[in-house]
Amino acid sequence: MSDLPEYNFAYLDEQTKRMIRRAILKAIAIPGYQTPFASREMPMPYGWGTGGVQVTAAILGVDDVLKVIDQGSDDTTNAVSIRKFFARTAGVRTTTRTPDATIIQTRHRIPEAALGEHQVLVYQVPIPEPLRFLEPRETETRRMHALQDYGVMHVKLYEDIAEHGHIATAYAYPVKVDDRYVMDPSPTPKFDNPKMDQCPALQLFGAGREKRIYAIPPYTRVVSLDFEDHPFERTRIPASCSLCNSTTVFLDEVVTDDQGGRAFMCSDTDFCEQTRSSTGAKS
Amino acid sequence: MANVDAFANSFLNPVSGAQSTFRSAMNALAYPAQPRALSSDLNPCGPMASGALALLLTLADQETPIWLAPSLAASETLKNFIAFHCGARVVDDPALAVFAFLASPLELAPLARFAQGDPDYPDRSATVIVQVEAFDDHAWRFFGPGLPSPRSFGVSPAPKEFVEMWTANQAGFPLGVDVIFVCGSQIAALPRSLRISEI
Amino acid sequence: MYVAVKGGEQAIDNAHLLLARDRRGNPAIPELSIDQIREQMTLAIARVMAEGSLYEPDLAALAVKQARGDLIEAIFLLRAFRTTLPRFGDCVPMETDGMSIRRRISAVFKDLPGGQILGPTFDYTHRLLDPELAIADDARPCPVVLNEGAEPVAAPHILQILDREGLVEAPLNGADAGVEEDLTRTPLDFPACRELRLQALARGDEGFLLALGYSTQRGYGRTHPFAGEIRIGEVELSFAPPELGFDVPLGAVTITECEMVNQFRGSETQAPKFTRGYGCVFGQSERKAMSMALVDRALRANELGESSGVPAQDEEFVLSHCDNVQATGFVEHLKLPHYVDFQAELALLRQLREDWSARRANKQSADNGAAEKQEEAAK
Repeated sequence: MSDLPEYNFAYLDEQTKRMIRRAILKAIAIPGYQTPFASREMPMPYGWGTGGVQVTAAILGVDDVLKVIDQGSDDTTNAVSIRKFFARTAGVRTTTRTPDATIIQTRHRIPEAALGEHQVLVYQVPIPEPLRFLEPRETETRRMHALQDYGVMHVKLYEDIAEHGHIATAYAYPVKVDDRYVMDPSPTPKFDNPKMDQCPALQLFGAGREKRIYAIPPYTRVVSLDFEDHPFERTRIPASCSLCNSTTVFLDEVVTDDQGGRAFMCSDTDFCEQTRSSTGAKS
Repeated sequence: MANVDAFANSFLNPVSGAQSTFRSAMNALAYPAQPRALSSDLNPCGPMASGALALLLTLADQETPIWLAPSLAASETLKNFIAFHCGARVVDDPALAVFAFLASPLELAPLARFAQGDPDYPDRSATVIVQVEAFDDHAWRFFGPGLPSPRSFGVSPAPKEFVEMWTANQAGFPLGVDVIFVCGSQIAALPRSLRISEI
Repeated sequence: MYVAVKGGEQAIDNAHLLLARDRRGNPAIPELSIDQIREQMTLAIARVMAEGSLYEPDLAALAVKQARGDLIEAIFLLRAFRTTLPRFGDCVPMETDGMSIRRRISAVFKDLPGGQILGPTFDYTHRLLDPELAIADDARPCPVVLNEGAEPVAAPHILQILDREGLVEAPLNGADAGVEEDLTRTPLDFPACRELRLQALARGDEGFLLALGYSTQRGYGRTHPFAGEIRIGEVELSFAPPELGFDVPLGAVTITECEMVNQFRGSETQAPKFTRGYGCVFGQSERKAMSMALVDRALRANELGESSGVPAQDEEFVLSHCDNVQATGFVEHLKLPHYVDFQAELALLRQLREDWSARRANKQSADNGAAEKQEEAAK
């Protein structure tokens, strides 16, 4: 039998980290541009956060405090699994408290609490190309970005308005970064889009299967695509959290019975806990 | 210090040394035009200072051709260090380099001699790492991604006509080069996305 | 509820325990050994090594055991291990001419130098379940093979014979091409060179390539293929450290190589010649090597000026979707919670429905109003 394998700090070997780090620096220098990188096979399946995990592994140090969320929650199975992976391979401290984390890896949400300069938000991205569903060919979409030819996207959004009276995109709502690249924010609900604009924290996006890394530097203009007569609107669910009573946050709908009964609660579980402990609301 | 054996000169802990150097560089690009700490336990190697050497070990390897300004390329000690510690190929043509190392900002011009990337792949461009004698905050004014409000920043010795040079670099965006300045135990960077104006 | 607000950690631990229990199956039945899997499930091992891109029969056997026989899962295990291995350099391009042959056939000549060697093949078996095999019997004598131990014969590649007459295009020569790019070390961009395409196909999913190859036979990009030669056997690999100046043998690997002879083509300046498609995989896997050769040839449609837009000719389509580790990950990631996006869609859908009802109600009242007016007027 061959020797049993040994793994480096944060799993990736140093050469792989260098390669990812170089891509991250380029991504920061060209906001919103999808930088190709030689994504590795990770010990979790493609589509389950391999891009985010590689970015986190490349930036993580012994002094970092890591938070991992999926759907806004620290306790969803995939968040638990990724947090455990780093606790095991890097021995770093982990937290569920948003303000205490120096690196937050996320799938599908941006935390409700405002982020600061000491933090990096790492997004897991399934399909990094915002134009992919309008043009399946990479050679074509790359050209469109090079020429800033985003006509197909505007046509698509306008067709939505013609058919439905609204832009019928509820998540992965495209944005323009620093007035240059149209970017996919990953499948976050469009409710979260405004949080990306002028955010003090660095935002890094990793797509493992598609082998792309991109970034929004801190304090960068991020604008959700819209039209003058149909401005971008943040979705709001007309309800309040049944646990902490918050009304200004993204709420999950929980089906309580098979008679149409339902309740709402914060998708960001840490925010909900903090609000409850500070207001003394029922728990 | 200059006589320290080049072969023994490496990070005390290669994994955490590279990680902390990288984070400094990452933050320098993310929060540009402002000096921040860069800790390096390396000894200088020939004409290359400790901080630039740390960036070299952190970012370059056999996959990244590098170019050395003539003042650095003259050092056999440095070339031996590069061959032994990072395996990067030293190239004569600056346009082929992924990283270019300069001993002084006076060697920056012309920036167009470094790889600029191509419109489909602007990332295929050079990062220029420059040793400077000092940072100051009254030379140039920058604004753009990473800065909540315009910020003053400068280096010395200051290259002549830097504003024109950087304006041209920025005008080609997304093509262009990114510049990282190293001064003692400090680092500051100018990503190509940054706009400049005279103070 | 699988996305419990709390307790995800315990649920995962428990799932791992259940998996381990089911992997073991009935404890009254003896546990499989790695040796048994490696020796008796050789074609499963071959596939795992080929698509896992790592020639290591013991680890492949371990992966098959750990994956409960799910070969894509086993391929994934091997890949995730492979990616962590240090690279010392490239081996000397292997010479399949010098293969010690176990099987070698050609469909284009009745007989040929070196002969037709059937070797261990299912080809002429009758697919009847064999009741004798149903009983594991350690005393069963090992089959004695006729003519075993005969001197190995020199077997030149059959396409060389055609090449000598100028009847077929020259082969792609890896050594000349100086393949520097490694698909696993640099992200693929399009258009890709043929060497990179072959790298992708060699680790591509057997089923996907089989279906694509089949589609070219049914008219979706026909290439008139003939199985010029299929050979299976062991090939020596060596490494040439620059500081030594000579080759150091590394050992032998079993491979299957397929050279297809396809549709001829000529031009004003070139006399017509047959074209080629090439397939080569670790282990014994003719289905994969043949499919690969068909797809390789189909992907040359642009180069050969015969592109008609069918799937097998579409490089971006084929190369972006042939990797089963990527594909299975992304298909199966739909199992992960998506309730935030679903919530956002629900809210949008409810809003669209409200708007729709309001528009309809408006229209109806407008219509009713108009009808009433008409009635008034009629009175």
